[in-house]
Amino acid sequence: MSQPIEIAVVGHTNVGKTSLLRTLTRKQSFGEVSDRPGTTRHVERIDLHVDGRAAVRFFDTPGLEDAVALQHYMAGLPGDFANPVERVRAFLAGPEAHAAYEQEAKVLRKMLEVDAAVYVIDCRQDVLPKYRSEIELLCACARPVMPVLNFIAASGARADGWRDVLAGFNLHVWMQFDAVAPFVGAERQLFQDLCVLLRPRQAELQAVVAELERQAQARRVASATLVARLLVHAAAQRQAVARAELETPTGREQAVARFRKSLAGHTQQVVQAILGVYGFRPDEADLALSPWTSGRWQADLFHPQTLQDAGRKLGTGAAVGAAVGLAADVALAGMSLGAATALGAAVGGVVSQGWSQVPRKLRHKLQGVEELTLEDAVLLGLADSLLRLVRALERRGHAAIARLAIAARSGDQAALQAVVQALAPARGFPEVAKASALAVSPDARREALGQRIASLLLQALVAEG
Amino acid sequence: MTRVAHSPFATAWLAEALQLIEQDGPLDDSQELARAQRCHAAPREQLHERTWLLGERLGLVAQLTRWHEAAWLLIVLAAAAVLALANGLLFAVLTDGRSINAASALVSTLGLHLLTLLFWLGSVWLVRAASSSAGASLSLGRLLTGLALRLPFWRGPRAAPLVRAGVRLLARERLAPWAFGLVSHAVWALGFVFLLGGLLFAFAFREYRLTWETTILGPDWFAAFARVTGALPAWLGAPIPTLANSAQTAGAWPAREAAWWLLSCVALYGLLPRTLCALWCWLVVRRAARRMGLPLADPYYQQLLARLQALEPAEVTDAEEPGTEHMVAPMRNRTGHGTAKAVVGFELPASVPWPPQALVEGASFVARIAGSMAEQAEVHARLAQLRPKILVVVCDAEASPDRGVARFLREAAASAQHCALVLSLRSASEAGESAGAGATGLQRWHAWVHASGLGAWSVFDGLADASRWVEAHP
Repeated sequence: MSQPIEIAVVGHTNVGKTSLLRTLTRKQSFGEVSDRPGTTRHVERIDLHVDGRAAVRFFDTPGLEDAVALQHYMAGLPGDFANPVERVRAFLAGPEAHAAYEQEAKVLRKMLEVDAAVYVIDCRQDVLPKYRSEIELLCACARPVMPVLNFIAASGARADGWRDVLAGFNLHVWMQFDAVAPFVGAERQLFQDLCVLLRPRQAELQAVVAELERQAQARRVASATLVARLLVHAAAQRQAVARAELETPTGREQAVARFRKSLAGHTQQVVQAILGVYGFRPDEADLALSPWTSGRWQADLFHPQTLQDAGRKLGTGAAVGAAVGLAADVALAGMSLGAATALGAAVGGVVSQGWSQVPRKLRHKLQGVEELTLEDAVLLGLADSLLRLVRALERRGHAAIARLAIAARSGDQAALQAVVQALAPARGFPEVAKASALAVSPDARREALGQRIASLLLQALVAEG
Repeated sequence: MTRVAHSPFATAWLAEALQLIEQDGPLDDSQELARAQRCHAAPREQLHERTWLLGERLGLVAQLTRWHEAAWLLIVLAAAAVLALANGLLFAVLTDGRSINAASALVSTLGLHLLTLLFWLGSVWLVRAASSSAGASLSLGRLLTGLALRLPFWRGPRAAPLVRAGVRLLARERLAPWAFGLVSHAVWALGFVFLLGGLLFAFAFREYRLTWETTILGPDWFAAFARVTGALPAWLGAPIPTLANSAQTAGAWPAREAAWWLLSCVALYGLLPRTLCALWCWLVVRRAARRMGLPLADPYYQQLLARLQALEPAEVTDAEEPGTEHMVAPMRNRTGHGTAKAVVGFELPASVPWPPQALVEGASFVARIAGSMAEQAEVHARLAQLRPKILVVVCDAEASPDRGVARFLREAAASAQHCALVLSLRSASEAGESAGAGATGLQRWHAWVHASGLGAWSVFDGLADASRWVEAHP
């Protein structure tokens, strides 16, 4: 068994070293992140595991705060040094390594032990002499250095200046990153780039990349499965309401509110589960959830415009009124359309919903009971919103503090139309207990449909991701 | 109390039960998860450990142990079923004193058996075709298991979720017909062993007349029946009874041949298939039980894996040395300051306009340095020479303060009487791209000046405040 690849994360103070590590290891709780300079004053180790054993060992180091003076001091060290590394060793053996430059000494000591270093740069800053001193100090340790241009999104033209300087120091392989909002696959890219610097460890790094790929795919499949189960459940959801109740506006409103509440509860459960799959904290989830559970969520999902858009995209054409039908009624508490015709239209399609429902429908017809179900437009909106949540979480770094808000959107939802069409058989499924709606179903037919929907959702994710 | 082995099957069963329990709300498993994380390295093993730890805490393991210990009860039940079955079969054969209606005896012993066997095969096929587990609901094995679980001795407070989990697990793994089939095949096979023993005993020491009788069929039909059914036993050496051709509606078989034919048919068409099926079921169940694992791809386990990943410990390898934080040289309060004013821009980004008109008016020394050692030394030398009354240092508010800045300020302050640190805000167009960064930057600097022992410095946000301060110190 080989030793894990050791990588030191170094850089000026307050450039986001700990944030980068949080993102790379998917650990929100790692270290301490704050605006105070010199938050990290010790060297802290965290491992990245592949198959239960540490494959990469990261060291979070204190920030380099006074590289200018240290470089000056080291230049004046008496004695003949065969190479810069000897000079660094001489400094580490001297008294100032435990006095004025204790923090820097920790970094350089670690630099001499590791296989490679990741040099984090806040590229919103100009290239000042202190940064040049840092790079020179790091290069003096004779270890491969991978510069990571952090906060690239807010850097403007400064990033070019940084790249020039890095090239001047013979650092030609660098990568861009944003610890708070990393792009999909950023960490895989980082390891791939490290392969270039660490030829002998290439196979191990490739294994890490493959493992990260596998984990990302597993998370994606799991969340697609959750969304699929919610959609199947939502499509099968129906609520029997006495016709008399539907004829009064308040009765209608109450029936719709009940329905909406039940759906919102399940959606919240799924959102929380997806957050869990991506390793985000539940307390963070509460914050992130507020747009989903408050009035805004309802406004997004049940907004008449959203529904009309969806209805048009589903190919129901100009007859939006009748097509959106019950969904619009559900959404607007029947305020927009003639309830009777809309209900008739939505309840009517026996064939499309499967013959198994005929006895129950007949019974309800005789008892004067109408059934509320969700229209395709709502399912489309639900699927779209949840997929955008998944996409946002894939891009979210574990150092992010700002809450996540998923707003309504009327983009191209062509990929999701197939999903909604495939959901048709679910309308005939029996309703299951509330608690088990999101677990794997013992009913093979339901499970098979869930898997089919999940694979369609995955396709939609890949297509846009 | 014997412990239940940590077999893959038991683990999967417990995990399924836990998942069922957690459908009603999450368990407080932080301790168990942390312990599992410490005990094992591989995620799968960590999940196993969590399952067993939680199972023990919730009493699920105790319930499993109870069942494990009371497995003999199932054996007693099965034995009772076997005896009842064998008795019933024997009774069907030996109904009428010393005379046995051979054909009817064969049909009644094998009829029900063949029917249920076909039913079981059908359920196996149905499960294979991935449609449902409906077929297993009517099997003898399921009946017996259900009966056993209803006995008060077996029931504990945690039996219900375990039973539900077991059923779900069997359904998920498509094992229901095999597991229940194993029980029913074993019962049938044992029943046939008893029946054959009883018949053998009866035929060995008593004399029976094996007869045939009919109302609508002819003797030819009975002869053909014996020939067809006896073909397979005959292949193994058993005799086939024959009938003299006549127009009768009743008669007797050659007793010895007919008795052997009856015995061999029961053995070949009853005992043999049931034994083979039981063996088949046992092999399938055993193989599946060994391979059984937690479905890690399921969202439930993915959430647990994410939590386990977050628990991986970080280790401090090079700790902070206490007492080194504020090792600063005491500031020398020199006297003999002049009336000069000095303005220094320190580590300012290129975009900041220089010099700031509001400040430099009447200044005897104005410099802007990027912060290299040589520049710093030069500025310090000039300041030491000048001994200014007022020293203003301008820094970038959005840059992070560090010890290098502190060292510069401390050294500069030694030469001046009144010191001001001005935090230069970036222009609006630049600030737009990092909105809010300015405010947090200012806070950061104020807190840092306070914490770094730079009490001699007055800190100003922007140039306007600073020039007012400068005017107040003429």
